[in-house]
Amino acid sequence: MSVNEVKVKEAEFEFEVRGTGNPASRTFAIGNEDHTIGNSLRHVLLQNANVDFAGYSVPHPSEPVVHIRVQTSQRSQMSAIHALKDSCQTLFEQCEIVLEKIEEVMPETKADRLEIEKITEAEAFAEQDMEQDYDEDAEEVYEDE
Amino acid sequence: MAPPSGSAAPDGMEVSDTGGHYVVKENGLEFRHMPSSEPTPVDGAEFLSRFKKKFEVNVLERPTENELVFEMLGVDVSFANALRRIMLSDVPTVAIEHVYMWNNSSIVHDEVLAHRLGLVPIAADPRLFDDFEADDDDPTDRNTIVFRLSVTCGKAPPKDTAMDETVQAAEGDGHTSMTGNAGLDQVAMEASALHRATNVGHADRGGVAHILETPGRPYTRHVYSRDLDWVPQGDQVERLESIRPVHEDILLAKLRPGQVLELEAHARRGTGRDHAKYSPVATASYRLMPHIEILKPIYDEDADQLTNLYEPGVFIIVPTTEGGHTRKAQVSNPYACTMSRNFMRHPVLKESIRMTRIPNHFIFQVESVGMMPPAVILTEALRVLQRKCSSVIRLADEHAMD
Repeated sequence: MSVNEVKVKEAEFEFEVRGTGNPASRTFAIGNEDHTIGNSLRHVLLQNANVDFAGYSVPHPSEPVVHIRVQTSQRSQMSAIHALKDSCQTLFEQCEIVLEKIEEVMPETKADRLEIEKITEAEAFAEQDMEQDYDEDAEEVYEDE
Repeated sequence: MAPPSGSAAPDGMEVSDTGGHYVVKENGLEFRHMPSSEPTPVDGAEFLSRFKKKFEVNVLERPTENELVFEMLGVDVSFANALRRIMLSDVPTVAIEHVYMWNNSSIVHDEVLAHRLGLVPIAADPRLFDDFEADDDDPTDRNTIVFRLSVTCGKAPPKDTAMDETVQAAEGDGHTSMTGNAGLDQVAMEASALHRATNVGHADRGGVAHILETPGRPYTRHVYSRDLDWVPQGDQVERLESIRPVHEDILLAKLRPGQVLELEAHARRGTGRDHAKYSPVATASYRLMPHIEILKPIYDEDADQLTNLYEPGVFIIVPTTEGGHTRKAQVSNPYACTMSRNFMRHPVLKESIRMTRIPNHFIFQVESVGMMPPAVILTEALRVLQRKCSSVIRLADEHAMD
């Protein structure tokens, strides 16, 4: 019933690996992603001495798919997918370092994070409590019989 | 000035980590690649330790509580751009999505009004809500906020005794009747109109005057965003503080006597990628820190001319006695520079300065719409980037298992 017909279409797949043979070179097609992750991952990949070649492309701007090509050096014995995962982890930790620094410099973000964590913890507890109260398999005990 | 974040090129210009520097030429900014002096890091741990040493964040300005100007040193362009893109389109917010019209007899069409309602920013923390899984998902108290708008424009009030009868006649007939009242004392009429306007029309926010009575204009009820009433569902009353639009004075529609507006609006979480109404920032942008070098000293009139070509404060004039000149120009505040290339039209100045940009030194400007403070938008953007990385790792693992 939505009038909003011009919605961004989701990609058909979330992750595909193209390429056969030596696991040192692969193309990774990631769906529902764009330059945001493509360029940052490419940069982190290039900062890895094991990687000989790293590049990314967006095959068509209308489709939310990004291709990341990774080729690792032969002497490194590292597979392309391993290099990709390593770089994702490195980027993740880079964000962590940036977040820590930002909390130092802008203390309101730390207060905000603690507040949100408190709320989500409270909700998680509430859900746990609810689950504990409701025990489907408990037998009903009729004491007067 | 901030220290250069990379090593120096042979001609003294700063070089980025990835090997390259920016040069301002007549036709624009050029980025020249150069081999990086440091060997590439062996693994992620080395990359991170190098990053940790060079990385810096500083808050530069906070013009208002919704604007933030800060600088980031030691990050690569791709990272800065990723943050900017995420702030614009991937940080979720809450905005009105579905509008159920029960009665709309105003001259603003249903869809136009619904569009305007969607664009009204709502001061609700999006992290306290769940996403709608699919379009036909059931609205629950965890993923929807309900607003109701119920406004009627009553009949124009009976004329009060302070008004002249002649003015009554004028108003009753509508705005075209003014010309029909010849022989009026024009001054008296304007005076009484002014009296009504100041006392009735421009009331304070508390005793809100929805009706703006200006002489000669029809009696209208203005519908503002403050008329949107939040209808708490389920346990929203305990979970959330009062939910209201960020700005209460957004004009939505105008009603004439007898016109009614009755609707229910459902707000949900979404991202800027879907619709710009969900974007949490008015805009987020970055620029690279400008760097101006004086190659040949600039004296006297040339110095005056140069100072005028740039923003105030970029160059200052200092007195000097070198070579018989009285004053010379000195770089004082390159942060304020907007990289104008006007100086290249003057043959002397063209050879005397070189403008470049310091690589990996970004000055971000984040202007929030109001539902979240700009610093929080920045941290949320970083968390979204982390989520993207985790999801790629997870997908790669799942693929490996197939």
